Amino acid sequence: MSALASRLLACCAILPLVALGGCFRMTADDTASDADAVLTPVSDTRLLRRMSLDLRGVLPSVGDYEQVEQDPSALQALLNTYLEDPLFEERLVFVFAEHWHTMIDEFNGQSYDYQMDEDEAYDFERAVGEEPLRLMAHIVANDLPWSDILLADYSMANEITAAIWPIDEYPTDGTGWHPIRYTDGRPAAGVLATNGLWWRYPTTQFNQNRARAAAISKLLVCEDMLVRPISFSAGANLLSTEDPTTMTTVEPSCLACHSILEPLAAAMFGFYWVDEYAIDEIERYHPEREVLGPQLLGVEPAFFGTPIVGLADLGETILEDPRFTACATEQMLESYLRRRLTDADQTRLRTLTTTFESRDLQLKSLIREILNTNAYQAGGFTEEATSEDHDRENTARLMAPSQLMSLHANLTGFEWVAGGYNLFDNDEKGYRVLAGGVDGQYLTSPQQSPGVTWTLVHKRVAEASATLGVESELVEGETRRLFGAEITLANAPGDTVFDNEIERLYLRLLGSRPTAEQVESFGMLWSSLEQLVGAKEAWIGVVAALLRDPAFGVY
Amino acid sequence: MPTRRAFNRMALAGLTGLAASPTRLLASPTVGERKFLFILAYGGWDPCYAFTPLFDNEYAAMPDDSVAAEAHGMTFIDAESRPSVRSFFEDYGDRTCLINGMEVRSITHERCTRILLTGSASPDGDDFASILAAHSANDLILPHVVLSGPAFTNKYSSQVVRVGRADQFPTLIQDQAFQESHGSQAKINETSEPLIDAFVRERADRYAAAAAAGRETLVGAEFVAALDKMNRATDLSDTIEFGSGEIETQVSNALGLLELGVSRCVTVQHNGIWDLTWDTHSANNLQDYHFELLFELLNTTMAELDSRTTATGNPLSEEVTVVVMSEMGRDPRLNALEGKHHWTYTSLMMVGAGVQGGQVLGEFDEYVTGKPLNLSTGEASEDGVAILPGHIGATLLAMGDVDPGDYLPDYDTFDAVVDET
Repeated sequence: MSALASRLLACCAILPLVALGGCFRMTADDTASDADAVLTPVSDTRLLRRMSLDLRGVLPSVGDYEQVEQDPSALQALLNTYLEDPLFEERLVFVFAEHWHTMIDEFNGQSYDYQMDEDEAYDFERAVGEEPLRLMAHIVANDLPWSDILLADYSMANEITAAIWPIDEYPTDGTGWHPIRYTDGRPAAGVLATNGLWWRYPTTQFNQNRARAAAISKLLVCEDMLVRPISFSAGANLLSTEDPTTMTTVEPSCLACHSILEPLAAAMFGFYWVDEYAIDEIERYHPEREVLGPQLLGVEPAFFGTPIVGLADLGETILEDPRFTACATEQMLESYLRRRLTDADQTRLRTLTTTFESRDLQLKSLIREILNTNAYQAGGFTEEATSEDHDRENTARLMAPSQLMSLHANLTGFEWVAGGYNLFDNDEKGYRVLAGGVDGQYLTSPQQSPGVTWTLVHKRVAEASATLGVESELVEGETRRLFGAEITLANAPGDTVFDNEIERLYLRLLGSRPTAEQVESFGMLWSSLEQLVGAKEAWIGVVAALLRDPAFGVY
Repeated sequence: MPTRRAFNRMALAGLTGLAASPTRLLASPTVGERKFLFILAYGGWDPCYAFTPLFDNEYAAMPDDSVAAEAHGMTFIDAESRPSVRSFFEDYGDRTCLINGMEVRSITHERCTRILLTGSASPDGDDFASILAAHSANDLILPHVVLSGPAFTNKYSSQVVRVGRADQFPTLIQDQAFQESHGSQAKINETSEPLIDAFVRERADRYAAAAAAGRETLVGAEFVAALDKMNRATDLSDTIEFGSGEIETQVSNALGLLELGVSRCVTVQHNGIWDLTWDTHSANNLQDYHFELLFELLNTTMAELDSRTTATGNPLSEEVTVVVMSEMGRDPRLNALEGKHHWTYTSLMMVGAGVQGGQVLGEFDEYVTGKPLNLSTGEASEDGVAILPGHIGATLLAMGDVDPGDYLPDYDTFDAVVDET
């Protein structure tokens, strides 16, 4: 018996959950708290589906499901496999985007500023906005310490930004994302030295990097200045100075935040723009302007009271702040639990943070730990659960548009692109927000329960993807990725090949084995459709129904 | 699972098309329930151009050729270049409550907008419109429609229908979403669709019935509800205009949604002339054009509200409250670029149903900061409170028969605004 299997048995033996009908699998959860006692686990195959969607954005193969059915301990091995899958790095970009909000649809610099065609606008926007996300994903996928996000002397670029920005070391004739170096004298400060981050969080001559300072505080140490309470004293003479922003340095209610923001902003003047819409201004770092911060803001650079010298020093100083690792842990825990954290999560958060720190800041390892928690693996509740428990835990996650996008591309080859825009992934012309996604500006957390537009997007995409899959595989005979090898349009309900295919599709798409009654009901749907519109349309209908099923859109 | 007989019924429905009339689809009219139209002047308006007569204030740069004027007992700012402002107060001042000196407690657009619409800077809040929509006594097809502008949602995300900048929602409804990407190749056979819809609906019912307690129960129930609403909205798409388009079209469409009882709240964003937004750090005189266009729109809105009727035969204006707002005000002084920077004090108008019209509440001190008010009388009072968006939100929720204490426990309602009759 393997050590893992022993732990599984030990877990079942000691947890009271057994008597209540469930036992969490994989490894014992070292982060468990009292709140976990009311949780029951999701099924093995549904857990595998959840892990695959979270880590790769695609569904498990039938073979992966069968492995887990035969041996639940295979879950751990598959988790490790998924963490090494190239799709993991792609998925991380979207995971980080939900916190960093850089995948927006419009920047001060536009594609037409670079004489690009209209159909290149979307690719340009993503090339800009993904830069810091790609750097972080690269660091994680390559098992580099998370601290590199603030220390790296390189960034990431694709063929678009490599061609237009002051960048070196991009492969000749290369495509896609690669590590690069800027040639404009910017310091080594990881994401803090990326154009993509500061294009998303621009500043003006009025704002003078304060908004950027607030972004750093929120993103890297989870100190959100925007939610701090403010109280002006009525009658305060806000007009005592020429510029109301100078009140921020004297008015006590302003100082609560601005005593932190101004010194932090003062360290960022290499990215200060004289004209925030001039391309040659905003695409470059300006080392000669670093000295402007103290002059314009009247304070010396500092990070929460610790004096700093420039951007590189800022990165190193943030790393010394214990909130940095706690913040990364909090963000990842929220990402994978798909909910906001509460006081009941604090024990787990502390334990995970300690583990993260003890493992050389390996974020991949942290993610593995999170996926091993009872909260992540929860599928329901014991009878002892309170309404507070029900409200807190997310036992039914809603599929995000980025997952829908990668999933369908993998399943049927369906891609939704028009005029150069990926319609899953933007709001200018696309359906990202309507499908429950985050736009990074007004919508900053993903939708938690289905509404009209989410349901409508899923319906249309299901129909289109099913049509493409059936047409290409069952009609044109292309390589099978949706259907099994044996099924043809000639098979019908009642024959073994047909029934097996329904069972196979059900498992593949929904993550559970259908009952005989369920197989029969899909057969009846197929028969009814076949009588009306023929076998091809019947299969399109069956696949579309599966792709619209609540058990498909929820994971 | 569906029985064979059920399938035969579905097949028949598929063959006959199962056409439904708009009347049947609107089986739950929102008779008598208060509805809301939110108009956000985005970027930060300058109240000196319409609302605040600070002619004697040593700091305030009032617009040229402007004077204080009065209509229905309300003082406003009048100028020849803004005739629509004057006509609005003359024609609709008796239904308007103007609140001056509301404090947003920030001077950044992002934070101010969130505070204005939710009462808080917290990312966990829902905006007033979505809360009101979620608490409708009726089974609304599209509870809160956002034709343009922001909506902040968390708990009530499923209540919001964002139309999209390129009219994505109507495109989806009309099954045109793949026209450009795939032509007609991605469309499912029309005969199949009702059968598949019915099958998915039955699967959803079973999912909801078997759902584990907690989130799964909620998601299951909302999935079923969304399927029904989606089908009803699809069937109504020939009757209702969902499109965004120009702001005038948006408002007209908004009133259509409210009139038909499809929605309880609609949000639109007014970006001023040439879509510049109201953020005039330079050339503050653009506010002149912005206000004239805004009030032109408000005049049209009010006329349309009066001309439209609800299912009960009453004017729509008797059921709709219009909230006109901007996320911040502007510094009373002009800067070197003849613009005005941000200011944390602003004004807000509530017009129409449920509003005690013909009154201006709130005033400024010599430093152009809002004076505390008595919430019952609206009079300035040292014992009063600073008027914040939370007070407006609590008032709107109460006007919509939602207990404000459930969402804004720290705020009392601004009773002076409300018409108790």
